[in-house]
Amino acid sequence: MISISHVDVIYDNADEKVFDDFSLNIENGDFYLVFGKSGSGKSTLIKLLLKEIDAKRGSVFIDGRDITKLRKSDIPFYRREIGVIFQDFKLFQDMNIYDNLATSIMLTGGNGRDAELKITHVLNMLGIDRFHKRFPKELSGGEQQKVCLARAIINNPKILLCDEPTGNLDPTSSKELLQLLKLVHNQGTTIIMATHDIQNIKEVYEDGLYKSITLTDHDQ
Amino acid sequence: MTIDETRDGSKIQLNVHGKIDAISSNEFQLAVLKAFQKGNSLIIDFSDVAYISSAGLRALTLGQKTAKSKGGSLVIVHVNDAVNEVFRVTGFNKILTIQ
Repeated sequence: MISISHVDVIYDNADEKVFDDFSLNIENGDFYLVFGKSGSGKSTLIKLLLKEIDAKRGSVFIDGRDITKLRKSDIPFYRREIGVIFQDFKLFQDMNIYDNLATSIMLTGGNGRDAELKITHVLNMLGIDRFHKRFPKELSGGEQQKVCLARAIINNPKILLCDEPTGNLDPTSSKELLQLLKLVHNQGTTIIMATHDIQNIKEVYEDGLYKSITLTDHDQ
Repeated sequence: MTIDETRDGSKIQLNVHGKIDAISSNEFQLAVLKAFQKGNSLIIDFSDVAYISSAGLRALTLGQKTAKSKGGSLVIVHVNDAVNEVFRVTGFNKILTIQ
């Protein structure tokens, strides 16, 4: 379970808090969508959970551990438990998709011995097994984002954080990615997705699939 | 991978060219540690680094610890997008000084 409690977040050199006494509970297995206009704190919430930024006050418990208390040296170990995809997809351009994923397994603490098994499984699961020998530049933006999703889940993270994952995609690719996220959620992964893509979400996701919060300025 | 070194007083700069992979990471780590024998302030220019492996990340962590123990600094500059993504996803961007 994720429990954000009475959190204040303010960026350096900013006059106003992004979060002011903000609290939110997310259950294991939830598919949680975070809506809100630009600047409302959607990405800040993702960064907070990724431990990319720190709260000035309050606690962020994940499965009983307060990540606001983590030492910097512990952050890489914490990140191994988290999958993340961003709006901008960055893959190693001179490596094929298989090698990109194999690299990710090694970098995020996975066991390289069963890399082939993991890569085959995740590419098949996402329906992109035909990509494995191709290079990023040979793929469309939507296809590259699917590879980024594969990279994010290849070590079976309990939590998948998505920061505007469809932000750079055309409507068709966006819907395909949303379908894949639904598939990942069905495997038991907790997903927290910051998004403004309400139109596609309403078209792809049935009522009851997800919970949501809409952030407003200076959320409380 | 190749590394060339420039020096300005106690400031050392390593310009790394190529991939810091499982094979070259030992050489990279050695270059970092040797640099700290010559000075306390190390800049590593990553503008020509296309890839870094987990062993390369460990070498940088060791370099960072060495810098701290000597009261010096290790700064990585000119990191490309893909390598920056590695630092971000792995959390090493919170440990290392990247500009």
